[in-house]
Amino acid sequence: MNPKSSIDEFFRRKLSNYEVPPSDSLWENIQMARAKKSKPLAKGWTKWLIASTILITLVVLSNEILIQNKKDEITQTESVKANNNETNEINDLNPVLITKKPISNQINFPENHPPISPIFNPDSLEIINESSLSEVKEKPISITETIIEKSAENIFPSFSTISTLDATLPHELSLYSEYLPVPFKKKLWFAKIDFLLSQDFIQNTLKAKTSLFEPYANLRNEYEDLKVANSLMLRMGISTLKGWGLRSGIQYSRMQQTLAFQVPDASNKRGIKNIFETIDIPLILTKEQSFGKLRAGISLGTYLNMAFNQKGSFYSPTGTLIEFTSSKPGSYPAFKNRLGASVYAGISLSLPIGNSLEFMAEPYFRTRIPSISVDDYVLDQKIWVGGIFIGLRKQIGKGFYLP
Amino acid sequence: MIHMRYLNISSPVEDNELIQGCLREDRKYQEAMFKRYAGKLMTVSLRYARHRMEAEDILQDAFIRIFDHIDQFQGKGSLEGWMRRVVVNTALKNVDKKSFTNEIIGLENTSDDVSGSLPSVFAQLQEEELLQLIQQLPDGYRIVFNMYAIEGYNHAEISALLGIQESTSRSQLVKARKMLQSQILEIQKVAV
Repeated sequence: MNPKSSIDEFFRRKLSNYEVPPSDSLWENIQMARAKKSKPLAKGWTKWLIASTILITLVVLSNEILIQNKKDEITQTESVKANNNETNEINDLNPVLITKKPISNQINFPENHPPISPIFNPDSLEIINESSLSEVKEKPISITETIIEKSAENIFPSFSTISTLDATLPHELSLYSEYLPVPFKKKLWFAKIDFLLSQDFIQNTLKAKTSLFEPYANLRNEYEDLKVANSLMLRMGISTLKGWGLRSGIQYSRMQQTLAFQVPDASNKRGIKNIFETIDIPLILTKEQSFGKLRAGISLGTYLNMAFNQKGSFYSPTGTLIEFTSSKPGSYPAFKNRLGASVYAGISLSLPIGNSLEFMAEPYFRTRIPSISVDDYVLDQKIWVGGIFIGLRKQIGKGFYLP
Repeated sequence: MIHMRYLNISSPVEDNELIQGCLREDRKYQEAMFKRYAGKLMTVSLRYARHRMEAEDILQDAFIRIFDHIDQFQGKGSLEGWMRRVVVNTALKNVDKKSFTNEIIGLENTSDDVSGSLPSVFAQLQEEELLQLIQQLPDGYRIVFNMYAIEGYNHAEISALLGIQESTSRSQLVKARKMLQSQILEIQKVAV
């Protein structure tokens, strides 16, 4: 900071209380100008209108999701009832259910628990053809045998009874909220917008909650390869001169998973591409500091996650493939709930590249908070996502004062 | 405190009362507020403008904004301070960023040291002359000098408010000081 010079002091002292009368007509001009200009309707209304719109959208969206989940459950139950008469047909496609008895004696279900069955539709899997299915018939998957051997008394009416053991999939997260105290002290604020793209690397582990499902966890860990994702984020933020800021926005992520499909002759594996798409809303508290031209900062916060689309298949505990593509009617409902949250930490680095424009890089780390429905799953899933956001940050207008 | 004859009230009017009156859109209180502060705010406006006509335009726009947004004054600082900020923000509204890239040739030989004691000629300068000196500065110099030296903003704030680099703000300030010093020394020569 430049020291105040004697010239500065001199001018300030002489002029700070000096008065120059304006022209006589100025007051009349002001009155006329105000009379012509109608009072803006917005003023206080605009912010309330925007806030209300966002709130209503969130409420409607949440209701839609809850209703959809409910519908899925009902549809599932009805389809089970309808399919009870077709058990033989399903069993024809799933030799495991014919040759082996199930393991449900070790699982305590309520008596009135609705029988829910995953749907195995060979026509719906694009890369599984009839010939590969017939091969499955001839050679049951060995992991199933391992599970079954562990079961002393095998009473397994159908795979439908383990529906509540939904295989754990990414982003079946719970609604979560957290209050973030923000130490805003300065009155002068700056608004900035970030446009970021990222390459994400995912570490996904599945662990059985009981030894009974260890083979199942091993199967999933061995055959599922959830490693990369790409994200696109539009983020807006306000920050103070001291570098404290609050950022939020919307992020779209697309995760690709390769599911190895074991062809029964054991000579090769075929890959099925699973896609998981999420819309996330970050709420991040930042503290930034300038180091010469470089501006560095720490970002901490939460992500509200919503899985809105998925496509692909996964292994059931019996070793069969189940399709969970959300757009296909009758597909297995992979998510108990679609909303969840995760914790975010990142280091932001930015360099000015033009007027009000900065190049940004933000290496980050994110981990999911356990879902409220975590007890409904037989596997305990942990997802750690790391990556780097690259993009641009633009200051919008000039600094402003909050009212 | 001034006496408000035109309000037909005998006691001096506090700022709070003026604000309440303006919130009610009472024209008498608006006029009282104008008359109380127009002189000081005109000085602010003149410092940022190139000439008196431009200063009056800025002041007119500023008062319109003040009356339109008086509800946003929260009373945390002085009313005068808030009104001064509105005038400065109004003056900055149409600032062209190109103003900060103009270089003035001829300042290279002027001393960098403008922090020492001032020559005696400074004491003889009247406020009117100082305003003229500031108005004669190039746009970028004038704005940065006003914001830093008189309003008390720091370079980070100036950078953010004007959308320029901090280094630009610093260099414009140094050049403004040099130019003012140079002009004042010229006045001294003429006077001698």
